[in-house]
Amino acid sequence: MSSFLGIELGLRALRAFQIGMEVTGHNVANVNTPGYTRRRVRFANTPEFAFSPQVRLGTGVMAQSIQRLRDMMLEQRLNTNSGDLARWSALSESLHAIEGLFNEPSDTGVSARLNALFNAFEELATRPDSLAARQQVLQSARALTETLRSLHRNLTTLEDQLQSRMVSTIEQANQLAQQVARLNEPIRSAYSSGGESGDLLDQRDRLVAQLSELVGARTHYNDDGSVRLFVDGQTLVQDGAAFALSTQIDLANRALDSTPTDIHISSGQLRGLMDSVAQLQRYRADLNTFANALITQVNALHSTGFGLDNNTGYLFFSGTDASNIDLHADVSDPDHIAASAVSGVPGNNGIAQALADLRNAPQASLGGQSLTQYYRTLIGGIGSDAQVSRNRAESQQLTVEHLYTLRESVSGVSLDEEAANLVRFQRGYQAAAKVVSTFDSLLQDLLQFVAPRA
Amino acid sequence: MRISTEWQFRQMERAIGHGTDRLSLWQRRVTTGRRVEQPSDDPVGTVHALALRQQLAQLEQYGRNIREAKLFLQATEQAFTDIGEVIGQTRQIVTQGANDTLTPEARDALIQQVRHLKQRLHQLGNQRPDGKRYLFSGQTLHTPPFDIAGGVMTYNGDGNPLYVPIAPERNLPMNFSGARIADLYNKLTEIENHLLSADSHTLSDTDLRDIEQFQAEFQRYRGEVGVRLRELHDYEVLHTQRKDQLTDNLANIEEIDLTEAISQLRQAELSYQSALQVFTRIQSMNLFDFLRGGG
Repeated sequence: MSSFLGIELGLRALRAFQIGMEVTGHNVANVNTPGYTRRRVRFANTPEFAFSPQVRLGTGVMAQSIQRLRDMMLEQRLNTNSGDLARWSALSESLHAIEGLFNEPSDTGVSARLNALFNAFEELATRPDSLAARQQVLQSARALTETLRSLHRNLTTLEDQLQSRMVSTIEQANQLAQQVARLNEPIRSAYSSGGESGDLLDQRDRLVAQLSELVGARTHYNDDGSVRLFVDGQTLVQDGAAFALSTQIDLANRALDSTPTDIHISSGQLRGLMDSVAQLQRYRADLNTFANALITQVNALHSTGFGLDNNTGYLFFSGTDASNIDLHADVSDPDHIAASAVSGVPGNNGIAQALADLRNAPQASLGGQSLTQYYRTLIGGIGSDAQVSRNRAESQQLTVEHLYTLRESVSGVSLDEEAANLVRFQRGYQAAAKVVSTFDSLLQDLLQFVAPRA
Repeated sequence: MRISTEWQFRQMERAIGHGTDRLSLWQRRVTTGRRVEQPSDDPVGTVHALALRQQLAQLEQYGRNIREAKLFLQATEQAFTDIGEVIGQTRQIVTQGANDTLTPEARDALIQQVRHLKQRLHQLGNQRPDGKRYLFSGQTLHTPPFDIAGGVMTYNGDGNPLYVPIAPERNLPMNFSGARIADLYNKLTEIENHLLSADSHTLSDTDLRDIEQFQAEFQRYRGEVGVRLRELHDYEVLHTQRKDQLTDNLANIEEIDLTEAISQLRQAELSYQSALQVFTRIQSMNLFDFLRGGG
């Protein structure tokens, strides 16, 4: 037995408590780092020393390992649910934006413009010969066509934005997948040497969480510490390799073109964006159906009537849908508006009345709904879609919050706890230092005692 | 359960965030008075509100149409009153002319009066109160309805109704054909001729009977104008009531109940304040602070 055993024992304790304080410091420093997992030092007593078979001496303490406190099951559930949250949030955001574009109910939306046009037709029916009534018709029709065109244009701009966000989401996911693949190797080698690199794991888990949010990636943790990522059962990351997702989007199937089979996206921001674009396209198609019915019906009536110049065959609208609906050049002269059903009879309001009656007339091309009804139904549909997606996002948010609470309860840093640990290690350190100095003074005494001989 | 510091802050952040959201929502609602700002706030309500707005817009248009028809019918009523006066005066002339003892001077005076009345009738028939549309030409509108050629008046209008939409499924004809005015004029010419020929027998017999028939007929027309004006008035009242009702319904959907909104705003303010207070308390509660204080 070495006479320095006591000092050695004290030193070990000092070293262990120092590590404890450093880990505490690391935890405190990362209290605000997102995705940081708190660490805890596991202390163990060092192997005892058999002074004699009856006397076995303890040799002190060592920091056996630094544990990273994380519940992987919880982590996976959190990721899955974050992916769904990202999906519904993305859809909800887009639908909110679409709602904003439709701008209903208001005095400047399509609905109000349409009412104004039908009112103008009705006014024209009352005064079929009046120039003022005719100008009113033209003005309200122009306002309606401009509103429809700008709505169509804005929808298309939003669609372009969503489309490019889909592509950038995929590209971002591909980059993240590469980073995960690069991290797999060092993590595995740290594992095989019996330890784990907390910072690398934190970094990887953050990337994995982001991938879940972006494309709804699923995870499988291997025994060697590395992770495998999947999307729709197809491998995204395995060992050191990442397989890039295609940016060729098959919107109808909510899938990405891939061989041998397409990859269906069922979660994450990407799915939300896909749903957004699909919904937007449907609304726009409905808007076009509406505009087309308006153009067709108004023109069919108008072209049979007579203008104040007694000519017939004038068209009222030009264009085929909401993108290009406009006033027809035929009616650039207000006298060409065909209010009368009879040639040379300016007081006849047959056509004006028929145009006004279009307001509530069922249209076969709109599934038996009138123009106004069809448009209202479209707005109602957008509203309830937006409401449903918002509710889904809100309830998903609660689920994620709940899981986050559980995760934080395992992995989050508590400053109170760290403060207590700091005090504990500090006191331990102070006590160990005392032990070292006590043994030191013992040795000092001993040395003084033997010194004269030397 | 372990509470981590980050989680604690996040909870507070969320509570404060919720607080601000709710506060600004009710602030906005109280200031704008609107409950539905976008369809998703109430999809069913929005569809209903759009339908109500459409009905309101249509009612307003009916209101304008009714005012237009009223003006036209009031002018027509005045015209029939004036024509009624012409007929009344003619009747007196006919009664006077039927007297065999009439002096030639008196007869001449009567003839002058009849000629004057004919002119007056022509003017009344061809009047356009708004400077554009003839009252009696029917749908031909801009063509003077009455022409006189060789002393005979012809009606050039088509006599067709000018329909005005005044309610769903109700188009009111606001005009009257002028065809009978021409007949009346030509009757006056006959009377003039009978006065000229001193045919007191025809005057007292056929002419008097005819003119009395005209009198009754044009009174009927005036009555008919009254009926239409009353219908317009009834619809106007009905539309106003309906508009009030619809506006009320619309307000129920689109607008907030101010009392409720203000109390909601108070609550939102309170919970926001308490969230802030809790935050400042929690912030100061940390073991590190106590350790430092103790050291």
